[in-house]
Amino acid sequence: MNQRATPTFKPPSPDQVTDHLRRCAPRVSRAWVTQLPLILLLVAAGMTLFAQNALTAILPWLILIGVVAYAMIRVRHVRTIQSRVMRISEWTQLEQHERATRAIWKMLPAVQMMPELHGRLVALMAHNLDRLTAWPAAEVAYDYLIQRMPADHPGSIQLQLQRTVLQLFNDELTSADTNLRKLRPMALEMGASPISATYHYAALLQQVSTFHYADAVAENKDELVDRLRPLGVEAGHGYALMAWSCYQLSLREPDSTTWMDQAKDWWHKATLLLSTQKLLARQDELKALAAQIAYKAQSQEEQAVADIVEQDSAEDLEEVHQLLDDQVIEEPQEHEQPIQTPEQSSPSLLDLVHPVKPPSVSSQDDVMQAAETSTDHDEVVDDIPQDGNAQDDTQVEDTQQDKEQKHD
Amino acid sequence: MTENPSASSSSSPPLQRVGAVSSDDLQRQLQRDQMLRWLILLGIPAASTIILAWFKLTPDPLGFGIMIMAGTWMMLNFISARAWQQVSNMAELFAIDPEQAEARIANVLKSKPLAKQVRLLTWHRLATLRHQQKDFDQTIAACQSVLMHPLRNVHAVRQHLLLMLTEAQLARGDAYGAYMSLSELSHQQLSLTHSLQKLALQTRYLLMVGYDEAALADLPGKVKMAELMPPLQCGALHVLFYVAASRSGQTPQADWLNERSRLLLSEKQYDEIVKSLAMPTVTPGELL
Repeated sequence: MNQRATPTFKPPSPDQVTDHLRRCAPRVSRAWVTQLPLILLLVAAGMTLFAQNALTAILPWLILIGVVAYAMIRVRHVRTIQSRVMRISEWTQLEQHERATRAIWKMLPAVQMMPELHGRLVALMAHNLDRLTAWPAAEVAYDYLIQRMPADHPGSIQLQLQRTVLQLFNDELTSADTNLRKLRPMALEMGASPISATYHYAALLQQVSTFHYADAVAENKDELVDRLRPLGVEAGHGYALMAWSCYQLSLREPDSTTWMDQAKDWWHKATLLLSTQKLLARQDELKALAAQIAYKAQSQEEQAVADIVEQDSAEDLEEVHQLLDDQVIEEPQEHEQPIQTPEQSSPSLLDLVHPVKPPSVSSQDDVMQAAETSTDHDEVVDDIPQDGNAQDDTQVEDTQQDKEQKHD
Repeated sequence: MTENPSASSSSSPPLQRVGAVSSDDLQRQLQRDQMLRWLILLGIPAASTIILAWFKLTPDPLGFGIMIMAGTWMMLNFISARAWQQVSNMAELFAIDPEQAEARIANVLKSKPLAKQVRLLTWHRLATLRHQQKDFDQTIAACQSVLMHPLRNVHAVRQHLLLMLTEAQLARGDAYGAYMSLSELSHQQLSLTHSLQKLALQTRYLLMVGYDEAALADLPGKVKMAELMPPLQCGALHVLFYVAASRSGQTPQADWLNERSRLLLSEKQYDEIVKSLAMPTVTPGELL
């Protein structure tokens, strides 16, 4: 099992989740317990009618004060628990999955008497375990919820679909296939909804898991974006699967570039919505595709450099040398102080495909202006979240940077 | 406030409706509730005590009278609790059957005497309904009426009212009102959901007054926040950022945002959002 965990945190095992859920099962308080405050108040009222001495005169008031105090403490307790559950929900949204899972684990015994909050916490637990890639444990939590909901309830359908996705990740292909067949009519009835989108994602994942790449591409080529749109940025996982399918087809037809182009297109869509790190965290095998696309991109850049060099034009050669060299700006002789070259890296090799005219420098002011312009440009480029993975320290990007450095 | 029945179908009885409201209506209702509550809370125990003392039915008529007062207080709270039950969980009803929801609110508003908090929270539900119906004038009226009164222990409701008020004011082109509401919101500790909604409204406000650069400040952080929203809202916020970026000439950002929003929104949704952005624009100087 591919479980992500920090040194201090390890996601619970399926058995641990089962045991904990059994221990913290929701309970319903008995009728007489819920009616107790009312009964006590009636008793107090009766005692007042027949009060004969000091004790029977004071006792009703003590009962009244006790009931009111209990009610106030109870209300405060419920509010505290509700606010804690809300905070856990926020941690889950903010992708603080370890923190949320820990809090849920501790919180479950406290919500045994509140079935609604209990169900919500178990759902959050399932989601967090899913994100921590503790898939078998998450499956247990989903099972627990599904067994306690009507099968045709929209919430239950959504949970069943999420469980099916986990089954596919866990290589439980037969169970997943049975579930998908069962859920298909209900999910497709929903139209453009998260439920139908989850179904389409699960179906695509099934096709990819069973190596039916051609079917995956044929069925989703034109409609995948519309189908997965209700998933929001999470649709990126689906686009990555589509890219993977196209990539696999390109390996079967190495002479044709069509599949690879499509793979690149889908990978671009995927990385537009999600970082490469997130995509690879869910599916390790995509590393090969990410590396291939990064390698191809660099090969094209190198090819572009070679093409320019082959033109044998003095101007172009100068341009290439200037752009490949970190010392883009010539150092004027009349400067008293040496000009600091910008700390930012030289323009990307991609810029060579669209030649950039380097500034011709003649005076100190111009040089400073050029340096500032260059820095500003780099800052702007740095600010642009190109494909959401600019900050990802993936091995693929490191390899590419190493190659670029060697090339330089 | 006028209440006019309307026939929803020929077979079923006409559903009650809540007419146009104003802050005076709420004030009047609250005064009436308070008067009735005191009358009942003091009148019934006092009458009981006098009767018990007159006929010598109990050795301690005063104690019994106080006990009756406690019982009366509980009965009044029970009436409020019953009313509150009817309007507490209406989110689904708002989406499925707004007319039924309005009838239920009208029914609760007729009940008296209600506890002040219940009355105010019912008005909050009315504001939510009007907001969903895109009746922005009535949303503003209802929100402002409730916000004039302190809402104890329900900060989330106050924040929700401010958010609805801001959106309604933006829809009406009231930049000054929206600014005041947003500044009040910024003084409050918001939940994550409310923070996300505030981000969307604030961006819309900044676009409205032409502060495109301010709207784009800390763009990566804002985009991450937008990703926590439901897909439609996430796409809509991307469109807002795209408009700001393209207006301020930041072409690469604009292209990236546009490409993302095209993936997050359907063609129709995209067009609708762009069309909705054709809002009245004011210059920053006008606000001063």
